[in-house]
Amino acid sequence: MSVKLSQTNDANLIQLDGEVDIASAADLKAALIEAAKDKKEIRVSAEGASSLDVTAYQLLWAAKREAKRANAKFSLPSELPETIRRAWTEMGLDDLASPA
Amino acid sequence: MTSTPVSANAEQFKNSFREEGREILTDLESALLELNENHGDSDLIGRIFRGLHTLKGSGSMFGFERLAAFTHDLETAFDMVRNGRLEVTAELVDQTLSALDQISAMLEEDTGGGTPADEAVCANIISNVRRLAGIQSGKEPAQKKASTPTANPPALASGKSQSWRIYFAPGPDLMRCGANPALILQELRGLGGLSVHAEMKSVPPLAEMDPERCYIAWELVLETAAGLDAIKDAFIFVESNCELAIELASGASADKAALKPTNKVDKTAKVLAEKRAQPGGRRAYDKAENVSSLRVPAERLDQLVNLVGELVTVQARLSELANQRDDTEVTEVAEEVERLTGALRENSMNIRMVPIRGTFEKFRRLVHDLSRDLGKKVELAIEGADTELDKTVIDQLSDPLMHLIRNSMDHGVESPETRAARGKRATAVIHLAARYSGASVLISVSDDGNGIDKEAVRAKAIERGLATADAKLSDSEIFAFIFNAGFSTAKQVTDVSGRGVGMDVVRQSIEGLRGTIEVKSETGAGTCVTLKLPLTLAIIDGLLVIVGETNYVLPLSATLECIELTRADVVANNGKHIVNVRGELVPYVRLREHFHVRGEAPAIEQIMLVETDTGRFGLVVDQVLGNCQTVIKNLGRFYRHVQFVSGATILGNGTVALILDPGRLMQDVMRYARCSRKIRVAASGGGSQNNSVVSSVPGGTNNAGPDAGGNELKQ
Repeated sequence: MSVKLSQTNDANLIQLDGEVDIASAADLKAALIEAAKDKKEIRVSAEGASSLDVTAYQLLWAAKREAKRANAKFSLPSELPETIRRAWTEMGLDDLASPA
Repeated sequence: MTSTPVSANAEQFKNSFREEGREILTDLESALLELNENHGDSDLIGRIFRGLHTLKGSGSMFGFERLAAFTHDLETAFDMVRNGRLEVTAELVDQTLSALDQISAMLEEDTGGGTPADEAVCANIISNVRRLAGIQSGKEPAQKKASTPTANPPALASGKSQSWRIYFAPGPDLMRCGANPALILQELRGLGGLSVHAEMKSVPPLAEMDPERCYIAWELVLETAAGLDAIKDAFIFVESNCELAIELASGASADKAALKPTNKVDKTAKVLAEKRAQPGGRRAYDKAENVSSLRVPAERLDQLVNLVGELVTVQARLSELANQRDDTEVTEVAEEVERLTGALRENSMNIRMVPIRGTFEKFRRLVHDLSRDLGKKVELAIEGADTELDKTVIDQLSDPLMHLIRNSMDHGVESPETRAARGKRATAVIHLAARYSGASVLISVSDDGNGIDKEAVRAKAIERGLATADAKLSDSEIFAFIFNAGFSTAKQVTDVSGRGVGMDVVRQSIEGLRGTIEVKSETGAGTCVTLKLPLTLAIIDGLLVIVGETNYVLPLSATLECIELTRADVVANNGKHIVNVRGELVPYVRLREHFHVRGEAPAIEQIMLVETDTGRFGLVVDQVLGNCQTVIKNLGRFYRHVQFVSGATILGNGTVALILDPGRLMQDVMRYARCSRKIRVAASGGGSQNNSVVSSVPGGTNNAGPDAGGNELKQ
């Protein structure tokens, strides 16, 4: 699994690959904090992720909440891998992909 | 940015599971042996089921797939037992005990320790368990991957579907322990229809988040025919690390919004709704009093104790320097450091103190298995299992205790027929007990069997040249022979004992722990072997004394008082080494003489009165310097025969002081006196008075070796 942060002119991109779980939670948190510093849009790419567990979910959820308060954009792809979307739905975690 | 390698975490989780697994196996073994005595005990049955369920579930979660699959049938069998569909039999208990051995082997397979699990034995156990439980191998769920617990049918079906409201808030370490709320919800879904609402109120600001903690809580409504036990089973791995409330909803469909945690049904629930409502609010389990224990690797504790030992040595040096400076402020600081070091030492030593229960309980299985193998009926009675000892001591106690119990069962305990003929209960009792005695712990293994055949031991000792035929030997001297290497009176070597190895192991182990062994035995009534062990092997409180130019430390726990000895006192007693202490005549030993220290003794010497197993006596030293915290250092192999020195310590001025063992020192003095008398008698031609014991008497009761003056005492 990996968490990668890259920048474009208008956004900070966080790319998640493989199994994103407690083992990568500290990296994801650091990436989200770094990405939020310049108030640019945060785009999370999870196409390459095979699973995002509850630690990853709550970090993304908190980042989204803070982006909203700061009037910044936070986006997750609407086309999340089906396994991730189903797992989130089964856990009652279903409103993260909606626009900030 | 790259995340932490998953393999490191996975290995950490595996190790955590191994530790947990070992504890579960110990508990399971103990519960099974108790169940064997009381087949109908539902608490024990529940405990065994939960243990097996945890092994299977956690095993699967942490990658021990083989272990999980193997445990599955056992879990099924005990699920049937708790549902009243299968009876507990001795065979089921035996098969499950054998299975625990294989599970233990599977648990340790990647660690490189122990024997690997035996596939043939495993297959045989599974076949037997299936036969006993009436499980058909083709249809039963063991073939399913154990990693899909949700696929299991409801464990307890009451027949009527009911609506349950569940509140589940993971604890701070739940995720770190490898548990996954998703799998719990999945397992609940396997019981029936589940509606899920995730509560996000407790999620703190991103910067304040502990990324490895789950802040989300779940409010659930479960429609199921399963009972409360089955629902609770879904939380079995996390029940100590979460807030949990389960209650029966009044209607068939509960209003999600109205669902609130409650502790009415489940006492484990902690309701702190108002605090929880605040982002990042602390939950009930965050309270300090709820963090009752912490798992710390033993090597870290050893490291801590070693560092404290070094600190104690440096502190002694500081105190020494402060005394030389005659500076009040420095002295005050040094005294404060001394006080704090003492407290730190006591605390760190206490951390390493563990109850002996775990070691004792292990022997239930040994007694059970040996009873079966030897065709004897034996009960193990345990007393004082909460007695605490340093972990280092406990770690080294298993082997000697095992040999003592095996010896008792093989040689001491009679067959049920013989016992009946002697008017004894058919079931013998082996009593394993521990209790404190000053700075020592006494551990005894006693039985109500045959007792030791003193004549047979004596005859064997004579046959082996360990004693002369006309030697007058006390009981303790005779019993001491059994601890000699290769000494056995058994006519037949069995799988259990008879080679004369076990008791030698006991002696060596106990000597290594600076302990002593006492044997009492009565023919026909039984034998009691008592091991006296120091509470700790690392740091002790000592009394620093000086003899000639050499410093010695006496364990403070053995010292009673200090009395002056003048030359006039010696003359008044006609040179006899006896002092009158408030009407009691106490013998004393002049260490100057015993250690062959040259030079003249001071005009006023000090008698340190010490209490030992052999009684009260005095040790005459030049001067008593005062209390000291003593970090015990081993003297190494070269001095291993000098039994009356239990180690050495480094003093504040950098010099080394030997730590004396008063009990063994006294034995050494007495033996030396006997030896001198014998030589005198022999020199005067009085050979007929020979009552010698030819060998050194082992077991820490009397040991041969060079004395401090280099004299060879071996007879």
